[in-house]
Amino acid sequence: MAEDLFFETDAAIIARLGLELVAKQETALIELVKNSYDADAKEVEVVLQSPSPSKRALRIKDNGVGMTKQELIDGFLRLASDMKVRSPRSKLYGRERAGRKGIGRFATHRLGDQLTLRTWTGIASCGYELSVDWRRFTSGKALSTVAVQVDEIEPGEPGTTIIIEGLRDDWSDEQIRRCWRGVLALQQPFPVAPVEADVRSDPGFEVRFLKEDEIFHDETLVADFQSEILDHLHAVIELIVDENGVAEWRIIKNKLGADRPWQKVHHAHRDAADPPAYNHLRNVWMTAHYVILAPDLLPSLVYTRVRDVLSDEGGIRLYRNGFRVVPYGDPSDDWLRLDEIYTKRSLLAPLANRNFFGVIEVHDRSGTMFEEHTSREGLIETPAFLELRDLASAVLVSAATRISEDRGRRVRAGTIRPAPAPITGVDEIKKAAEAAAAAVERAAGSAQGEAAQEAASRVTEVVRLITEKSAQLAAAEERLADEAAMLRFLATLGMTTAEFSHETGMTFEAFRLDFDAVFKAVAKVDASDAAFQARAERARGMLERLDTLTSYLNSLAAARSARQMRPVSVKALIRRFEKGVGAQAETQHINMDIKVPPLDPLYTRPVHEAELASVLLNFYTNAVKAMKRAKGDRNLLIAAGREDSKVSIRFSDTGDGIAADIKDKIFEPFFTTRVAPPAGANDLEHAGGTGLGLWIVSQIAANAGGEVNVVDAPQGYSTCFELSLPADEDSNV
Amino acid sequence: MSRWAFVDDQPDPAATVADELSDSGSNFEVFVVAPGDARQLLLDADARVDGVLIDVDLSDVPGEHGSGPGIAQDIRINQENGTLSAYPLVRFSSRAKVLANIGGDASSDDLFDLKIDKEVAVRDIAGFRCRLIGCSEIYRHVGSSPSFGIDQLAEFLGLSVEALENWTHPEFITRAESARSDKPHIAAGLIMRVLTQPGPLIPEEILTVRLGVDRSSAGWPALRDALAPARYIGKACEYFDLWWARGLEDWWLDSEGADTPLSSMTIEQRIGQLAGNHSGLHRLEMPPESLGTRPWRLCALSLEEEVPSVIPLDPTFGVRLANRGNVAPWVDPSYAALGIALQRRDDPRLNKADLERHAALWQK
Repeated sequence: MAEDLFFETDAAIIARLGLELVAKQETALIELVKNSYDADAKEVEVVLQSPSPSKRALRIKDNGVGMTKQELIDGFLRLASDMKVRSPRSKLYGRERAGRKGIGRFATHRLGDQLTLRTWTGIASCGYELSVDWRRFTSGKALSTVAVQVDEIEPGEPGTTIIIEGLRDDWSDEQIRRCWRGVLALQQPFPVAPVEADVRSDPGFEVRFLKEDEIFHDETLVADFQSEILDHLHAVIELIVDENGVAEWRIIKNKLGADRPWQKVHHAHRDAADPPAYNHLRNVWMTAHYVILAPDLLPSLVYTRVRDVLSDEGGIRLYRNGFRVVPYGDPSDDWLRLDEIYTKRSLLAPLANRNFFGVIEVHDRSGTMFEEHTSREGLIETPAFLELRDLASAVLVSAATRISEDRGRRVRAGTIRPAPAPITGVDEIKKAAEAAAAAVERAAGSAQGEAAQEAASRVTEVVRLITEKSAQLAAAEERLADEAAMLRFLATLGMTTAEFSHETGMTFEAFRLDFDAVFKAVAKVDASDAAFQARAERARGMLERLDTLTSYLNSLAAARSARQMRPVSVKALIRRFEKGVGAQAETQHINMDIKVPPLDPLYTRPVHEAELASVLLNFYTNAVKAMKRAKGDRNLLIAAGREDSKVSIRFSDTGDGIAADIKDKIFEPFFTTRVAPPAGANDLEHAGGTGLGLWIVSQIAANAGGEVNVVDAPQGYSTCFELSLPADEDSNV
Repeated sequence: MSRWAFVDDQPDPAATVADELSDSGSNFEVFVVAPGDARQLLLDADARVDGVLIDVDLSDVPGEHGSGPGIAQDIRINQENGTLSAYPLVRFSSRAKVLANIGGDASSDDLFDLKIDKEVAVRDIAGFRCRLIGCSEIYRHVGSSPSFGIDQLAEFLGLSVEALENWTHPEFITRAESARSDKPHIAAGLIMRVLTQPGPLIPEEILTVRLGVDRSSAGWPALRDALAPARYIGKACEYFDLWWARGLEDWWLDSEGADTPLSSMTIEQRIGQLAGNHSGLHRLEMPPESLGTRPWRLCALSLEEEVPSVIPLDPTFGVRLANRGNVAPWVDPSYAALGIALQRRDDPRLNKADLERHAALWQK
């Protein structure tokens, strides 16, 4: 006779499933936090409570949507429920569910003996408390015979609190931090403001891990976004535009150098000491954390974490009147063109979106500055928006450059970077000497007499010397590696320029001819249009000047490809320079005065001629900027002469001079007083103002056996650079 | 209509230059030909071209392995064996390309009637066109001359036979006379060299230097007109602004009544002499790099620079430059101003003895 039989489940299955499905305690805790995320919580607080050393508990408290009684039964008491399969997204914010199917209850078992779960929906007239004593699920009992308790409790704010007592494991700070990192991907870096006015938009998810002091029961923070990410970043960049449009920026919390105080800025007046206010932009605040993603500049554990977070979340987000404006700062958005410029320029200063972590808040209650697209996808490019974009990118690029400069200094001081791999052999020598020292010391200990003591002392001295010199070698190697990297970059730039420059010659000439033809044809149509005629003449003049300058630069590029060093006539060099930039100088209303001896060619010892030409160009471009800032007469004096066994070039200008406190810094790499151009500016603008120009000049001078200095300017001039080089030892013939 | 082909490997810039050079008013047309097509077109006996401009480096065309001088050599061989008619060849290339591909090798120089720096030429298209048309005209006139006896040569150059003998060079006359009428490119090349290389004929820049006059003087146009007896009035004279060097000296002694040769006088003396008959003239200033007071030539090194400078030179203090290749004996020797030579002391053409001697003077 047939009989219907049924599977029965032993209560011990709970324990077995718990331990097999959730092997590690960290995984268990992470799962519980993920459940909070799935419940649309905005904040979760995990506290390791210690009411007494022997009675510790975990409390996980969130402000999610909570559970109704039915949800509690379906979700918690019904094994293998398919709720998460049926509802793959959370009900309020539509989050993709992070928790694994049905793991939560076993996780609580994995963590401790007793579970108390309290939950409130904020809608029902009461909350519910579920109590489970896992110790009762023992072998030999049917699972359905072990009761769990559900009670109604007083109503409360929406959310769920889980308390796990009788913890099975100890918890170290590092384990807690691992848990925090496990839920890092769920967290938003900037959960401080809503994305938009829609209440259903996800405001973000923040997790804090705290630990209760066993004596005073004070809660101390173990891990949150600030402690695990932001505190490790290298600097904070702040920008303010006040109600009058005056913009100022600063660098604080700079781990790689000194902070920079507030300084006024206007991206279109980069050289101005007192830049004007913005025409349209008002009431803006920016805070951006900056990090150089280099393994040697971050603790090894932090590096990967920061890199991963920033690759997904890096960038500058924009908030308007407290609400986030998308897509600015989204992973695929490069509204400040930081990625673009970094990719294009291969600059040493890292300034891609992944190097920044920040927000810009604009207060525009009246809606006069900014206007959103009707599609709600970004802002219309109003004048204020354009000013904001250029200002923000200029400040970020400037700050990154300054911090790179600091990094260079620190590198030279050997305090930031770990020592590189030692030069082959030195390490072995050091180890052998240390072994010898130890052996001699042992021998001296057992031997009698002054000779043995002296031998030990001498060997110790040898070891000390080797150690010291080894450290010096390592520092030198590090510096050289850094310089080599920089030179590789510049060489690449130079090669690219040289490669293409010679192609421009006839194309440029042909363009000029075509332009002339077009001009003549149009002029014939209306010869009486004086304004057009004047404009065309002006354009023609500009082309002529550009042509002369381009020819000069092309000749430099061509000369650069000739790598042979040879004595260079400084007089010829200055003559070519005068021809090359003379027309450009005229357009800048610069009076260029050349003073060279009539016949003495002023030969230097063998050098690269193109390098000396680039020194003159560098002096010139610096002088032009300085004279523009000074707003007075623009006079240049280029004098050359011979004194003893040196030939010198003195390059003087009537610019705004060099402040005494920076005279000793101007030849250092990356030093610049200039605000960077906006990221969207053209490559030419970005190529200038890197703070490398005078450093390269000093390197060229040093390599040629000479030097470059700022010396007293002649009467009527404010700045004078003197490049002094060894004269050719042979006669000048 | 004069039709010139322009063989170049960069079609767009070449087309622009061709368009600029073409001028219906002058009946002058230039068309661009890619190197591969040029070999087909220009070596065809039926090709009707009046001249060819050729770039040196043609490597921008994929698969092109030849060069401008290579094509020019092929054309000259065919002109020599009579397969092709005679027409001028002009090397038209940028300075950088010439330096990179030819450098100091003069072996291809004689192939070309003119050697023009592209970047300099396009700054004065009208002047460049004028020289090309002049070149065509010389070929045309040479082609229509049955032979070059002394009478025909004198007539061709706009001189009397006596002036031809006094103002040119016996070697020139001999070579011209020996040029076979069935190979007009030889005779035309000879004439072109007289017209383009300072020697018997000099351009206005050298003319003013020899007179010691600043070319920007208000009185210079009138003085230039007064120099008509020395002006070149031979074939194609409308395309070549030149004066006979010996004619100038004759004019100086005969018309100006000087009793000392021009070259022996200082600038002051020349200006003083001229002031008797001409007004509005300013003296030529010698630049500090160029010593001496009796200027006669121009510094050749300064003229070669990317932005050429006209620097007058007194040969007494100049530094001689060795000639590249074969230079006709009637061509003026090349000099460099001392100051410029010192700045380019590694130029192998500089006469080291001159340089050391003059340098020792200023170093004292």
